[in-house]
Amino acid sequence: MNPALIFLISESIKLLFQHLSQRGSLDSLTQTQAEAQVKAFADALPTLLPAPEDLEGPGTPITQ
Amino acid sequence: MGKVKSSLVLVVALVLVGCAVQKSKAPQIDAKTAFALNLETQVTQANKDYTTFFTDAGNSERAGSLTAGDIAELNAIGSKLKTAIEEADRLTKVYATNYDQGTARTIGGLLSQIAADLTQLALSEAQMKAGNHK
Repeated sequence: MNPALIFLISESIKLLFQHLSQRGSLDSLTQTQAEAQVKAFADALPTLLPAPEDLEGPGTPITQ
Repeated sequence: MGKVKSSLVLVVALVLVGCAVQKSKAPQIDAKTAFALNLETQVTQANKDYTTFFTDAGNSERAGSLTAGDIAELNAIGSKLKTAIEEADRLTKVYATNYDQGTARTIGGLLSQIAADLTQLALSEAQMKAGNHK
């Protein structure tokens, strides 16, 4: 199967489960808790992300 | 072509089911707050996907399945993606304080761009690895 199609299918499944789990978690929150969660999630977001090369680390191949 | 068609039908069906599930929200939470939480979930996931992708890319380079040239090409997309996610993060913090709809629309646009970049990265990486195994 085409890798692009495999990726699209897996992303769709991932999105579906995100919707399902979010619906479940919302059911247990009060309005006040939900508003607090909005603020907490926003505060947890970073201001600056590491550059791709910083996440990748050194490119030295693994020696056998 | 038959396999392609059935795969596309599956993808469309999954997206539609996801939309149907999304419509039934918790009634005790107002729409504005539920929307904010949904937006934040997507922005948080974008951050995770970016981190995971490039951490894995580094591991792949060290394992020999990606070349330095491949990494440079992926990083060029990654730099653009980094900027988009940082802007989405910044605007999400703003949105959490004022629930401004214009800000929400801008974040939505950024999320679309981020999704497209992540898709491009995944496809490019898959093609690079397939090419490097020849």
